[in-house]
Amino acid sequence: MLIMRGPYPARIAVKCIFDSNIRSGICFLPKKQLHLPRYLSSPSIIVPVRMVTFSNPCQLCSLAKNASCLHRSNFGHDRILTRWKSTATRSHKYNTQTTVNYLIAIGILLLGMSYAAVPLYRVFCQVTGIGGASNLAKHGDEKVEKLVKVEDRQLRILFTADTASHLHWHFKPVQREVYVYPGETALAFYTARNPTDRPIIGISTYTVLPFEAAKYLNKIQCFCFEEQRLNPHEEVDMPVFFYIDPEFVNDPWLQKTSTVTLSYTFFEAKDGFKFIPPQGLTSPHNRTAPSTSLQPAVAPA
Amino acid sequence: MSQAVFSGSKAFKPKPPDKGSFPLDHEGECKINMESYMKCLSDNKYDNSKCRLEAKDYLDCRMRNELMAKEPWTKLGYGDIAANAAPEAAPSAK
Repeated sequence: MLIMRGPYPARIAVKCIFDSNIRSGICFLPKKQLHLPRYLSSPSIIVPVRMVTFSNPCQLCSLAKNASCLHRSNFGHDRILTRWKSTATRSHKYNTQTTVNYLIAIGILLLGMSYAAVPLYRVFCQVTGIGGASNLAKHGDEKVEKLVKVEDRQLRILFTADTASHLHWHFKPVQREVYVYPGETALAFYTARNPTDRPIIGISTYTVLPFEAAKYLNKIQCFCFEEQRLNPHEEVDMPVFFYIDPEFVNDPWLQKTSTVTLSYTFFEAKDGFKFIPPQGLTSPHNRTAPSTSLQPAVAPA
Repeated sequence: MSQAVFSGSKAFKPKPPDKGSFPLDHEGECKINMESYMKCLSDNKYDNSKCRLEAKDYLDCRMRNELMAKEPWTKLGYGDIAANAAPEAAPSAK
């Protein structure tokens, strides 16, 4: 049943019979459009005072606007009613089925896209490098050569040291803090002492706080991620050579940050311990002196 | 210690150092340089900019004693000091 607004306040109920293509059909229009009582416009009651035919659905709209009769033809009323019901049902069912099909297809498409997004995003990141620290150049020799010191922002670097509970080294930073400018290379020291009577091998890792500053603290050389062996009663200095990337001053998250904490933690390396280095670390660079030499205990004054 | 940090891809990933790890100075060959650097720092309120010469001396000691690979000073960020001290013989490149 098609309900159309007429030119009058009351709604006009128009009953139509469509052919299978819904291109043409027959509509019943009430003769009297004004003040049509409500109950008469319900679907079960047809007021076929006139019959109107149309050859395309667009005409149907204009028909409702002015309800004048365009055509008269003779149709058996009951037969038309039967045909209307079956056609309407079929077209309605067709519409519903089509809609459901479309909705299911869209649902499957969205689900598939959400699964495909994961590898696509990974490929995108690899190609463009965005998502990591894209505006920071890959740190390396060339970058250190081109470093420009940023004069107007001095940062305070705090150093802390920790050991794992079962590691009996005395490990501490030699200086608590250092004031450094971004773009300037800096040197800092930690001291480790082995008070026990057996050589101990330790491995260290580090963290940087605040978290957002971690990508700007580039270490040129340090003592982390490598097994460091301390002979009994030996004390040794461990330097860290680093710089803060000048991009630090351009980071909006770090505008109010003037203190960066570098924290090292030493763990004991056990025999048979297979150390999996973090991504990117291969064999030790520039190792010119063996670090596991068996030397008599040296306790510098 | 990753408070206020969302996990996953943004977890803290420690980066390996550019030039690897310093071999340990078991014999204390460069301890004097280290101590003079420390003294300089404590005299200058731990301002690194004022003690770059001492830091450079320490690294130079390490290079001489084969505790560090020899690198031109520009690659270590000391190009300005090396340029000023032209009469001194700079370490040769690797």
